[in-house]
Amino acid sequence: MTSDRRAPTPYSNLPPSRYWRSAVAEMHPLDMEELYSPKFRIGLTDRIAVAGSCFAQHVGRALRSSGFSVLDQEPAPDGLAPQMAETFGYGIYSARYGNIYTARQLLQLLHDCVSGTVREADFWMRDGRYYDAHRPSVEPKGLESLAEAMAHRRQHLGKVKAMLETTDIFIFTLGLTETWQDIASGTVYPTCPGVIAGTFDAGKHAFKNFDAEEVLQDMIEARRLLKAINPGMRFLFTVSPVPLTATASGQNVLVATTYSKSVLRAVCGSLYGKFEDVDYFPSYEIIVSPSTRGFFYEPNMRSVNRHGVNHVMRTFLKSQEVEVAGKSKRANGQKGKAQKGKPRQEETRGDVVCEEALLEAFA
Amino acid sequence: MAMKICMIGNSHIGALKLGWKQIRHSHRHEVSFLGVPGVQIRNLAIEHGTVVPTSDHSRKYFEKTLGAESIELDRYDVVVVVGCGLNLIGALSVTGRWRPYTLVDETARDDQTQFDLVSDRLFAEILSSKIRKSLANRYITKMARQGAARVLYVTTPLPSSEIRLKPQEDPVMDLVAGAHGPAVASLYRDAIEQVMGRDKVVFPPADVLVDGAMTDMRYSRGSLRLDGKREHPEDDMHHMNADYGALVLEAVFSRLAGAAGVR
Repeated sequence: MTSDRRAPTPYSNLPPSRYWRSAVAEMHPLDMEELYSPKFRIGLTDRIAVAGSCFAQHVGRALRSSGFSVLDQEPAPDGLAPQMAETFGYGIYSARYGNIYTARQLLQLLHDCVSGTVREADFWMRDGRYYDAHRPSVEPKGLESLAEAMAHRRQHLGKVKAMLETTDIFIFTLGLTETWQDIASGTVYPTCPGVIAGTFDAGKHAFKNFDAEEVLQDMIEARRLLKAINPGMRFLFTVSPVPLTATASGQNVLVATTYSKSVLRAVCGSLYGKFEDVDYFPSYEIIVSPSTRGFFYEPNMRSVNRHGVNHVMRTFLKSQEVEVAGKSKRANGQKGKAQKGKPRQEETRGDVVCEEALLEAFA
Repeated sequence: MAMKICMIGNSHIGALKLGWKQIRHSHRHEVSFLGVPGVQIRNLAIEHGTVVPTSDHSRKYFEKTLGAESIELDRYDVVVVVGCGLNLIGALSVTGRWRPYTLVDETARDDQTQFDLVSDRLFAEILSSKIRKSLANRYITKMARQGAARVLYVTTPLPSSEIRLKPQEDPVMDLVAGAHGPAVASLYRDAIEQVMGRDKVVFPPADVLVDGAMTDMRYSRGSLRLDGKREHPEDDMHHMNADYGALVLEAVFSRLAGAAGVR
């Protein structure tokens, strides 16, 4: 016989942040609390490498302007105007790899870094100029010869490897599950061949939409490779809240976006649970929460506006106990290892470089 | 057609002034020279159509070289800006770390640590950016806007070919003296023309150059300082003599003759 007195359940007496009503429905989205409890602290002197999809550009800028030591292994040439530097892929991430949208793209980059492999097939042509198919936007007018393009890529891989060898924290924003790949080699590209350079050939190129298992395995392998390069490296993963510009999946783009983001979010959850050195920051949740009613998006309902970016970064910095003005509570304003000289001008700008948005031109 | 010409520049104007002495008998032009050496050339203001000194030092040189306190631009048919700090070696300083593939020796192309590779398009942009921001470009732009009938720019002499005889510690000098010299000089020349306009720039005649990248050492020997009396030190590879100045002036006059009547 059971008592009619209610026994406590695991849901009894939980803090307000554990209930939807008190945590979300009745809370102003700017005031939501306990969204993120860092697994590990990131110090201002920790060397941070930033990579990922377009949204990661905001992360890198915000961290730099807050005094974190964001690495820049391929700095822009002296005297180059910031806007021009950005056009050529400088200062956007910690090296000139451009946007890395998928886990497979990251894994490919790491494999190539470790092996130093540069293949002729890695290059696309347009108007007689050569483009690195893995980062076609960093040279907007391409390069003169295949030999030159290969030399650039070889050097880039060396720089990325050198960057990883000194990285304490690797921040990666997962952006997409959809990609285009070379059927014969399985190589994936950040853009569909033919969008920036190269030629689309239905006999050679195929659409690929990764599932959760594939993305998880790619990320586990990527982590393994990164740890082999630098055993002390720790990871902070985020999911881009930016919806797909277009989908080739055959589904409505909203449905395709939900699939893509769900897969990526689930993978981050798995990685978070599996590895002590992997943390997850919920920038995705902060932006897409129903309580925001979309006000963190630009009118195109796709790009995250500066208020959204600022709020994401404020939440991150607060959780990491760093004041937004750039003075650390923990590090007494100590400058990071990679912070030298005056602040970069690009930190005051909010534009991001996003090849995926080019697809809109084809809409 | 005789013209009233005002030449404004840094120490490199010395060679032109001495050159003028050699050739003035064969020209009817009236030529004035303002020379303000070194960084003091920055201390000029161009206001209301007049060039004035903004420091005691530059004021002293107005008096010493021009014999006047200011330059009223509209009193001249042509104003010629000379040197003013824009030079091949300075413009190429970026090559100490960043170089296009074509400017890296074939033997060093596999050494990924020696230089950061940049594309030819970006390198051209870097050079153009430097030229756009240069004092020389600011001066010619401002003078043209403030009433000068015509403005020309005479480039700073290319370094003496004597640099080939002496080991160069400066990698940029080494680049200019080496196999890539003609290519870098050509890129520099293209960038100046692109930024300032081909019709505004006067380069030294081709026959005073070696490989298009250096000035024949005959023209650097015996170069004199702005006072026209003391010689530049023996290791000076950048200042030229009166013969050079005369040839450059002839190139300026020839350009003006080609555009006679243009005001």
